[in-house]
Amino acid sequence: MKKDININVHHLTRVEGHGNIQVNITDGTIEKCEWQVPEAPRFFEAMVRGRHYSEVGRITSRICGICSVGHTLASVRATEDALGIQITEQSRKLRKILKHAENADSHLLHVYFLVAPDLLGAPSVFPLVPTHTAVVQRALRMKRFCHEWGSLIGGRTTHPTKVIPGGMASIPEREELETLKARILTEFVPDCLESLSTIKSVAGAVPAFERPTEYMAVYSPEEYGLYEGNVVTVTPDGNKAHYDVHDYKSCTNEWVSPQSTAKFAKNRMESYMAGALARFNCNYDQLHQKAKDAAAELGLKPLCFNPYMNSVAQLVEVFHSVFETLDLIDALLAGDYKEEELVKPVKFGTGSACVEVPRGILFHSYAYDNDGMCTKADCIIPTNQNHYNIQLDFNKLVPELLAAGKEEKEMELALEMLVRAYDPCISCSTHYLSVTFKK
Amino acid sequence: MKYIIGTGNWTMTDDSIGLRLIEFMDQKYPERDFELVDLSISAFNLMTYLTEETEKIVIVDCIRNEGNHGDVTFFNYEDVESIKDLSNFTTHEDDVVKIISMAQTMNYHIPPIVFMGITPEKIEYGMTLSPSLEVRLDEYATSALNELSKD
Repeated sequence: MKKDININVHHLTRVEGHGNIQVNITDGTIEKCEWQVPEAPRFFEAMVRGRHYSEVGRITSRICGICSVGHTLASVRATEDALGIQITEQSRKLRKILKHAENADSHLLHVYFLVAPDLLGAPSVFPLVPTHTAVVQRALRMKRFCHEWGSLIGGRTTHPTKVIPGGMASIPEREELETLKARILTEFVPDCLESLSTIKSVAGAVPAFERPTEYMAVYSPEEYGLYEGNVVTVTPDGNKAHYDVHDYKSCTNEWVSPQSTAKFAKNRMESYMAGALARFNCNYDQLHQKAKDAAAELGLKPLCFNPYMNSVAQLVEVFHSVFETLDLIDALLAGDYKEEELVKPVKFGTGSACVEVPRGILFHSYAYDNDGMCTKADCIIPTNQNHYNIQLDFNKLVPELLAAGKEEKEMELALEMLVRAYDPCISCSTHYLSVTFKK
Repeated sequence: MKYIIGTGNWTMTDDSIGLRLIEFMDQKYPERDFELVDLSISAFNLMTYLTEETEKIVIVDCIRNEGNHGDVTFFNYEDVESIKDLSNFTTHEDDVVKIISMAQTMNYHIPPIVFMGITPEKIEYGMTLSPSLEVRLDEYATSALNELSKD
């Protein structure tokens, strides 16, 4: 019998700030199948115009409360590019450690608190507390550790204060880095290994769905691109194309659709994907060996066309970040580690930078006048770049689910899990208290 | 150590009252014997402060209630339960009350926690507070400090 199906997931007002899933199937015919993003623009680019270069990173870090380290790094690096500032190797290493802390922090939050409940058949993490106590305890322990890891370098992990144009406002003591390294080895690495076992045990619940697409990431010839570099994309046939970051508009090609107030993006194909899986597909060879081992353990190989595996790639990247951090600490402590003067601007002009935030490649670009005041700004965030890729995933997935005879609730869950796999940062939402008094 | 912790979204007008108050107090009290924390939207990071070394926490947040805009409501964590509906799509939304509840279930040390809820005038995209809240920042700072100093 042909089905009527109506899925309308969490259609909230634009004030709340979420995306919606709308699928309408009548008599077996798909009439509507949309990933809708009814978000208002936030005008950060306008906000920073007229601001001094020293203020811009502090403001744009507020674009996102989870990826504020990444926004700070992208913003400060783009400003440094515009001002001709070449920071010291010590500052680069410290910033990379901070980037790794953010990636691990965000990935663990996503994998444990949003994805794991789906794989374990729970509606959220909260029902898992009594049933999977040790797993939740580990997740919270790791989350806390990442917070401390990032705070040591950035001053705080949310909207870091120590990353400023020219270098680092201050640096951790040598002993603090030694302690961080020791704690990573004795506390965090064992938990990473346990996490690998946990995710491996539920990996069979990851939906088997594939849609080859283009993948985009930061590329650095020196390392797995996260903190700095240019742009690389890979298409399903393995063909790679490279783009200078200053030409980022030539590979992002933003466009507007009536179904979304957020812009869509495309490059060589109709859409592309950004995020952990995109990085994995683009830059697998540069992953730390420990991360490659974790990927092998989890059955993740490049090129992987299953977007649900983005969450698995996130866990692989946690391994990369933790072992790269150990190497970076060793390199810092082996050198002449000390407080350094900030590098001063040598010009005022235009500059661009790309940084990988947990959800994918992030672009910031600025122009400054001769007084160091911002005259133009542009930010392209990864979630926007992923929206149309999600839509095209929907277009392939819904008919497949229908053909497989899935019921409405099963389809709804499959679509929700797909959106969650991208870990979208839709607007950072609002966070007011909504409580009822017990008395 | 005692903490005043602000939470909220900096880009959503009065939802950011907790963060604006932290910024304001950071300027007003450069020498202090308590810590100011901008938790932003990362409620899970509250866990970091749930230790035996923490004497007391005052969490400043926007609260939707029946009060007049700008009103302050103090309440203890034990007095309320969350009725907030989360989309579960994204890590970018959270619920401080549920996080504390989870921590309690996980046998974390829960120090005395008092919420300072401030009723918003508006919650919409915008980088500034409503004037009705902005003009009361000094008063809010005093109230938060008074609450923190209570045994």
